Amino acid sequence: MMQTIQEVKSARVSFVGQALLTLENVSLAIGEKKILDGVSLTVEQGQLIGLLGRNGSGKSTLLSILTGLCSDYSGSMRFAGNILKATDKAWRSQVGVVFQTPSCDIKLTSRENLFLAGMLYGMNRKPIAARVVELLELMQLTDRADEPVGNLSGGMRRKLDIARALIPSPSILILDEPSSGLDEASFRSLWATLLALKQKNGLTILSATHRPEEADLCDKLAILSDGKILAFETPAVLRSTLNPDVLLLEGPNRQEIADIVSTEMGLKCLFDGEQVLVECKEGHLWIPKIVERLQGKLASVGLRKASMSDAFLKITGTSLDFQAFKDGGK
Amino acid sequence: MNPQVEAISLPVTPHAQIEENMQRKVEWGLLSALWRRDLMRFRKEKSRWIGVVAQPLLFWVFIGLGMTESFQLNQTSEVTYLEFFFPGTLVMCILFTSIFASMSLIEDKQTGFVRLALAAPGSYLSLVAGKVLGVTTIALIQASLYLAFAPLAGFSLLSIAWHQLVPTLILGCIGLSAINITMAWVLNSTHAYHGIMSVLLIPLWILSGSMFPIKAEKFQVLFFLNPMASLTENVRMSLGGKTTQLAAHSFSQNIVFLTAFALVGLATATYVIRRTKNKGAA
Repeated sequence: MMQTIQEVKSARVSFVGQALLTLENVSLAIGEKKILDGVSLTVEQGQLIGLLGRNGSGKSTLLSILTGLCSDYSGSMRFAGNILKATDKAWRSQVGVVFQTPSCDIKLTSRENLFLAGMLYGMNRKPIAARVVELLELMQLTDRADEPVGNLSGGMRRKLDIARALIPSPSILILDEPSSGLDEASFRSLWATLLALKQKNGLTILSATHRPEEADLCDKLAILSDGKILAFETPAVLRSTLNPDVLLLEGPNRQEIADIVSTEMGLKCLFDGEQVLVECKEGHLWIPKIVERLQGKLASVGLRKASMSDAFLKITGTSLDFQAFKDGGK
Repeated sequence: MNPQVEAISLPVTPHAQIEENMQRKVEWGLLSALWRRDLMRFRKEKSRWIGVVAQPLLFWVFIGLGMTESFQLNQTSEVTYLEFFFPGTLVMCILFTSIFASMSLIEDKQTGFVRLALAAPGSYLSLVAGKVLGVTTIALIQASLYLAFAPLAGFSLLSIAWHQLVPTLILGCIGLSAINITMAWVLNSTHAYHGIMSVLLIPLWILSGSMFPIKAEKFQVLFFLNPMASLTENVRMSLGGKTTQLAAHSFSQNIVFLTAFALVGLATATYVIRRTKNKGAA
């Protein structure tokens, strides 16, 4: 039997260090197409869990299910040990959600937007007012609180979205690509705030992403491809499956380059767009050998440390996307 | 990522009031948030205040003055077209306000506000009721502004039967808002919405007895089934004057019809929102 809102709120207090949210075999199909295929994962209180996948891998659909926006799924979910139906109001009162695109009303001020968000969760006027002041200060938006949101920068709007999601003091904060479209400075500032919330307040965060540097921040990462979770491990474990260096080789015939490198030098090659990626140890020592052997066949050679995008490529056989690959190489 | 994360303390407020009446508060919260949001936006858009009142006013003045010479209700009547047409333009004011105010729902779907409201713990009925209440309130404000011109049409503000007019307008606004919100929910383009609502609702307004008395047999069935005809008739009766004799139904009959219209509209909007919600999942 489903719990009341009060029971659910009380339950989370005693769930520190245990499975707060468990998904078992969650699937969703639209017609013949499987959008999610047997997704299972466990989220402990205070963890930052990342869902890493390309566009269309099922991340946003999974978050839609968790936020109660989609009820046609199969499988089961548990919250604090109790069976959970994602559309239930008791659960929805526990979730703060930040969607992929900024969703605050640009005609209203930051303060008005936050106030309305508090009302959506049935909070009283006075606690909302106090909470709005606290969150505006936390997000460093106090000075701009009474300006229309349309005047704020992209980074500020994203922070406002997160403040809005935190208004009801949720048990779990669900983020759908929160740094999408943000510049480097805004990205850093946003994640500094989120990590501080996690560390200081034990906030549990579930975040969909396709940015490797965002994935690196997570306690555990679920690698999603075609609606399936192919791996659910810490970034360190995922990275440990790779050699530390990656050589990037480009030339007119990438197949020929890969054949020579793998057969004659015994190194593992992967294709990523026009490039051949070669996993190796001490990459700087391999460069002269490869250049000598592939004379006339190479257009360029590069070396970088292995990143989360390489781990993703190795696990799924596809790169996150070109931009993510480049970011991963920084 | 920069590891130097500053220690930020999240102020801990009692968790969204753990109380027995939480559920009721959540429903009321969703309803009142949507209502307040529409009013906040309306307050900031001054041009809307002028536009929606000016349009029926110009209609009334230009068409009214143009038709006055050729209009005769019957051989003995002294009713001018300006007097006859005024209740109809009041209904038009409500109609246009509800069409334009509901159109913001399409924008809300695109910006993600609707998803926020759906993810909040309230019910669909509260969501629909909040939006309908917002649109209805705006329509009533606009109607009140328009009513200030009633003395120019020969209707004294002191002789208006407000106790009849107010419930009539509220029920009419609720029904029209619910229809408009349903269509705005289904459609994803403001152009498509505007086009369809114009084709659907403006003919109903024309055939409501607002512009001319419905005497032709072929329009009678449509007139009797038309909620805007009931609305127009009751507005006429409430305003008083010499046009009240035109009513085909009693005030009470029209109120029953308008109540049914409002309830069916609310139920339809709730059903459509509940049914189509999952489409946004993938």
